[in-house]
Amino acid sequence: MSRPGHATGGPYAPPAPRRTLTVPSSDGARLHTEIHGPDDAPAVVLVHGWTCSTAFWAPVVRDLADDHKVILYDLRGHGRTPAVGPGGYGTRALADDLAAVLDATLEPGERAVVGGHSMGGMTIMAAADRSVFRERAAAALLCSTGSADLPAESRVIPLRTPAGRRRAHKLMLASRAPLGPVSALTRRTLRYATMGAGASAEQIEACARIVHACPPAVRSRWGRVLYGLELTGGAARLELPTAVVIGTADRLTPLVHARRLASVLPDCRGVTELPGLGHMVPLEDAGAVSGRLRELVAGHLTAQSAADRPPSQQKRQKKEKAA
Amino acid sequence: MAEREREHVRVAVIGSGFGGLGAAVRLRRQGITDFVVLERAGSVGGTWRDNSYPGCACDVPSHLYSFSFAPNPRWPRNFSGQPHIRAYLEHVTDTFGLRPHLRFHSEVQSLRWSNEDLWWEIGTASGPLVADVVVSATGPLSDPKIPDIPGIDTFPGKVFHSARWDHDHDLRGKRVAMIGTGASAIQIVPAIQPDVGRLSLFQRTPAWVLPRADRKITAAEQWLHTRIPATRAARRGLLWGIRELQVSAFTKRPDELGLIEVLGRAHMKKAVKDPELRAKLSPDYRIGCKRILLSNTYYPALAQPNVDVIAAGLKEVRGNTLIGSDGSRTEADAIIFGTGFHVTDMPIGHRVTGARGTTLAEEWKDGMEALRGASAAGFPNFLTIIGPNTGLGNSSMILMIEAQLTYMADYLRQLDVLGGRIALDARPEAVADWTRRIQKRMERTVWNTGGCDSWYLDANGRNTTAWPGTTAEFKKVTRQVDLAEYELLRPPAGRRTPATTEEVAA
Repeated sequence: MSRPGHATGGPYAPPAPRRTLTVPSSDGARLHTEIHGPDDAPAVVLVHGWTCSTAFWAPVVRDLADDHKVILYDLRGHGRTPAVGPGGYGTRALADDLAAVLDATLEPGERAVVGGHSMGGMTIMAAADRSVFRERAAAALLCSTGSADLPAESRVIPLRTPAGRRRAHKLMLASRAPLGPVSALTRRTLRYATMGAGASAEQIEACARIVHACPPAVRSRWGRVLYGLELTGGAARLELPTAVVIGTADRLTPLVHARRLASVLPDCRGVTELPGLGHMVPLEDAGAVSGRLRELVAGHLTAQSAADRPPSQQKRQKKEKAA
Repeated sequence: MAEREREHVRVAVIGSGFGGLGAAVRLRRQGITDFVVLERAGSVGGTWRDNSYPGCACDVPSHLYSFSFAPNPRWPRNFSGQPHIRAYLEHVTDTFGLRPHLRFHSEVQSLRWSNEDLWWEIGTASGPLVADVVVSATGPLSDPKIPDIPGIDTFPGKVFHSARWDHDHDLRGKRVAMIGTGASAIQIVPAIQPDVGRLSLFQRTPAWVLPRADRKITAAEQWLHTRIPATRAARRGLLWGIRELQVSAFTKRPDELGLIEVLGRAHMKKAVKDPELRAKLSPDYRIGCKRILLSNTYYPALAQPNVDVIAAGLKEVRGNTLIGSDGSRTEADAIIFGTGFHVTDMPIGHRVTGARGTTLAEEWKDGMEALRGASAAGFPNFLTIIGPNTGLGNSSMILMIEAQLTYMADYLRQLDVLGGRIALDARPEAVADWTRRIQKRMERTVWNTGGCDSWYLDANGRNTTAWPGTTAEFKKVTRQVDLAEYELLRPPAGRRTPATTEEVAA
């Protein structure tokens, strides 16, 4: 089945990467990875969400790539990363892949600000305990995401009881129904489910093309992972400066998730609530996301003061001493 | 190290009544076996062990006043007596294998939160221990409240509280003064009236008393409930449903209760023919404002010639003479206090020292408040069963207890998910918000508008005990712990590093 191409012009058209590479993950999955922007600029790694791809970050990359090295990759089965066998989907795989990309794309000793949207945010939580992540990530941005209880808290299907919502959203998440060609109906549905009332036609179109491009089988596999998600423990161990961004009209991962993250994160640097925005914040207000990323870069990456850098290094030194 | 000397458990449950035993069952079902149940007495049962006065029975039907996970098809009566309820709790203890967890004669003397170690240091009558989480199921009806009556020590006869009945003391033929007309007193009066010489009942406020639809549950019904469990479940469901439908009259439209008052008046009229006595016994407040009592034998007993109703409180005692607040004088050989319990001031509060170094009693001096009836701000990993605003006016407390146990189970699950040494402390603003919502709803309830002073209200007149909604609603709001309402506490930095280093190394 042919899938729709991405937007070809305007801010939502994916910019051409300076370099692409294929990063092998620990189980052999081959991750399509792109590097945008100058090599010697501060690094930002961005992880897209469920049913999206590197194209999702287009407007954010356009904001950042002038003075940042922006690294993007496609999650398994998404974009140009091939799907894997049935056992290859899970939060462990998410963490493996992020660790592999960080390892492959950053120079020795180089650190990065890592941002994740939706399932990309969950990827960051899943990677919290990985030593590569602890060493390489200077700060994190969790955008439109949650750590657990997605099906019960989602408001896409607005049933009154949590049990009802859990059942209904399970069907939605696990569905293998093909979306078909981008049409007025699918655009409306997608806008309702994932975007705020103020989303422009261009944004909706870009979003629809990206989401339609995700194969239904992959969507369903990852949807099941989202259904049973429990990453609160990972969030609780994200011991790096972490900012949270959320749209107040998010139906997929409503505000309550952001508030819970704020409670759980050991070093939360504030929750930015963007009024009226839905789930697709990086498309709906790319400036807000890139702005927050810039702040994290400025605060924790380029200003590598001795006080800020160390958590992981101090620990390493201690470990060495102990050993 | 000091901590090696003390026993460490994951959870310490205080009390072994319905709340404590229920918590123990839930913990085991959650797969947690590293817990103890601390009990000050020598057997389980809590309120249903301590209250053994003559005539003691429950005024919620037994099929509803029992655990949903431990149904008993063989309840002997609609409203079973204390011995049966106590036996039921013993049976639950055995069936669910709770004996190994029980520590009798282990009254909790002190509970102190350690900000360093993030655990509770517990001093008990049987030695110290530390626990990550404390579940306080001490119950609102556990510590008898005896008013301070001048001259009570000059009284030469026997004095005791209804919850500490002295079964060795023979009341036959004696002149007995009963103080109070609450739920215990109205069960005691008809039970002892035929035996005592003279019974003087001191009544500050008359209670509304409704007929008690009590009867034996026939052998055929018991057989049916045993053979076809669905019939027992249906019976419970019906008892529950009826009570759920009554709730709105208590919480939203107290005027509807006026219809029930007609029943109450007719009930009294049938048994009490003397208009003077009837006047004394007629309440002047809306029914439901104080606990509604159920009895078919109370009014007939009061109409007996050996009973006096003194429509006054007890003011003073001079030797054998009891002086009422109306100046009346009564001679007595024994005094029984049916004056209730410390409900609004949770006595364990004085022994619990939280994260800020203050006691729960100090924090609650202006009224109890806890998030979802369970968590008080500044008292991390401390959950109360039957905490503030979880009481009911018309249905089974076991339903509320089970809802709170669900919350407790999720609390422990969340702690496991978060992993490591972490504690949850309710955010003060979340507690305040919860309390504000409850108090807002409380405004139009019968407890606040009915024109009476009751044990639901604390010293400031605020209702900190009752739940202003249905049990289904409470179940819904206590289904899960919302981490947004809690602050996560982690060990101070110096203590955290070693553990993290290991993780990095691993």
